[in-house]
Amino acid sequence: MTDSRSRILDRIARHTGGEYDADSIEASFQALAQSQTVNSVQPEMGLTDPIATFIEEARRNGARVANLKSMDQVTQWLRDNARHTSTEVRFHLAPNIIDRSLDWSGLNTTEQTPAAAGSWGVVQAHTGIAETGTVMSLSNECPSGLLFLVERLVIVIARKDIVGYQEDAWQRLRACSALPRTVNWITGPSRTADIEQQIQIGAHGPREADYLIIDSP
Amino acid sequence: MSQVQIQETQPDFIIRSRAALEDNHLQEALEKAGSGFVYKRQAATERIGNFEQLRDQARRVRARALQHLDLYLLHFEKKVQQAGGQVHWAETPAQMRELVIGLCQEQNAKTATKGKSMVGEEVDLNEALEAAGVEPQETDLGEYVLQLAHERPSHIVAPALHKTKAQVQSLFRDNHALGERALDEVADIVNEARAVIRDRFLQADVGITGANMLIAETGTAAIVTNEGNGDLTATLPRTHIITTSIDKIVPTWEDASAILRVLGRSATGQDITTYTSFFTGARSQRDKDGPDQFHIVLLDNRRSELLGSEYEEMLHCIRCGACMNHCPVYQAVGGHSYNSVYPGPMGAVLTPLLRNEEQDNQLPNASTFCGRCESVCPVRIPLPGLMRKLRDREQREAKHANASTLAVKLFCRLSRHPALYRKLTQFSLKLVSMVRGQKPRFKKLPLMSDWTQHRDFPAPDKGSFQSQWQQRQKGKK
Repeated sequence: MTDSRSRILDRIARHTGGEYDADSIEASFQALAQSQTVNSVQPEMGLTDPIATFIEEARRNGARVANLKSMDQVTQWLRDNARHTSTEVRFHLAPNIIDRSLDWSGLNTTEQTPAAAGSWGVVQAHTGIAETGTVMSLSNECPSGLLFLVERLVIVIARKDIVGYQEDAWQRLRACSALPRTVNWITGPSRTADIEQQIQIGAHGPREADYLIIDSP
Repeated sequence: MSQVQIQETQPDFIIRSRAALEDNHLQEALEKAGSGFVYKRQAATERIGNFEQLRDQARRVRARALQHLDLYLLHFEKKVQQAGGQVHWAETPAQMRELVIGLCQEQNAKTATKGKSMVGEEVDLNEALEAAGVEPQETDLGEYVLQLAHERPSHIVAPALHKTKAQVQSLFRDNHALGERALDEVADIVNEARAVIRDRFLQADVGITGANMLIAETGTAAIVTNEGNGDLTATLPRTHIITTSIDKIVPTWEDASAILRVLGRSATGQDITTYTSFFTGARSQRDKDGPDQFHIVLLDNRRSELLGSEYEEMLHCIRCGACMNHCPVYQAVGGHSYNSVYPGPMGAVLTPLLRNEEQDNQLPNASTFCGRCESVCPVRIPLPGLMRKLRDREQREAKHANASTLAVKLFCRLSRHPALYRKLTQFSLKLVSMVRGQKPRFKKLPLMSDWTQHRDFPAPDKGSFQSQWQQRQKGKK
């Protein structure tokens, strides 16, 4: 299909007037990017305190939000909240949570891919975005599948990792050594409106989403 | 009569529309969907102070992307390759089908889970996969319902908008071994689909999704969903294939933000959808999961020919569906009447340009030109203007003059001869007043029975506009 490629590009070039060979693509792209630096237009929403807006927007989008003083309190929060459930909870931990060596005593934990009912995922977000109450997870830190296969997703996020706008998240992403295969943005629990436009929470992904904001990680 | 039968047998928009107006299930579904999208969009746009500026910014991004489309596509391709993926180019729907089937066969794939892809629908991918021995498994709830019903999407965002809850319940009863499980509530239906589809995610050989955007800077494909099915399709199988089109490119991540900020608000009234995911190449050693193989198949299908043409702005479209949600014609006859994967105002422009079958020339006429589509389009595509151009094109290229063409031509001639025009209108008014007698309104008019079926035609009783105007001018003197 190489011919298709060149025919498509030729037709486009007739309009753009562009002529590029394999070696000039990067330089041309960078030159264009430099000449076209555009000021982003961000939504006007009175965003002065990213933490407050993050919490407000997350709640509006169906996430529950709790504030904890330190990481040590995460497992106790899980114990307290799992107590109210009817089935025994199995906690599927992301690698970036396991690394924190917390006290998991009395909790049924695993690193396996979840599939069964009663599964909770516990992950740490890379960044929180106040603009929409969104958390960002990277596949080099947390398996992307874990975010979708659990019944309830508990996302730990450090207060210092919450930024105002999407552009701030891109800056943090660019500061990473390499882009991971998957960057996931999650805003609340999964949902669908495919049956008569009625919003139903809990489609293919988690039915519940909790954000735990940690003051001093 | 089901919609699919209408689609297969009837190439005339007017006849399809008439059947749609008489389809009680469809009318019930349309009524329930009704103004929901409209109010949600309005609330979302009013929650922020500068939605109009966000629209301007999104439009600028789309225009900039098309201005240097070849450079951005080449950079995108290079970055995908560097990240362990491959980009494939398809000029036609047939080539795209061939490429995707080839990729599936390389993996000896027997099953392919599918996320929603309008480009996949555009090229009839499911039928081709089935014929090649690969079972396509739709995972988006709406698409899954339609796969059971053997129907096409009728809306680009809510594919099963034309289906009522009762119809979905009946489909599930016919196709699922339900046992004791209930289906009464929407939650039951969603849970049923969730349980059936979950295993498919875990076992599929290949996952096929669409893309909402392609970010040239890093070779990243972005998808925007609410259910989470797109991510499970993209992440769990060994191979992830994306079917999308060349016009989806944006230069940078900041540009992607400009689109995201208007997309959710315009489509479903969400400031952001539950999931926005960015896929760059295949899984590397650093990644905790992801597919080993990543392929992007780019479809042209006449899009490149639109660049630089009077229809170029149609390539700005970000597929939010706001135009059809606000269109009185779409709301009356539903998406299937358009007999195209792209219905509503955007489809009325895009279908004649991409598919260009003779029947598609009717679609630009399926508009009252009320202008709501343009007024809500997040990237300000002048949809009525483009439809008007297509109407002109149809008139210019028309092989056979039809009654309306002849009538317009006759009027044009007549209006160039004012004296004759005045005489004729005076004469016809006299004729009308003789026929109407004392009646203030006509209940029926010859050749206009469709029009008078729903309303009466007021009978003129004070002479023509011109004669009234002359009287009035005399009065002033």
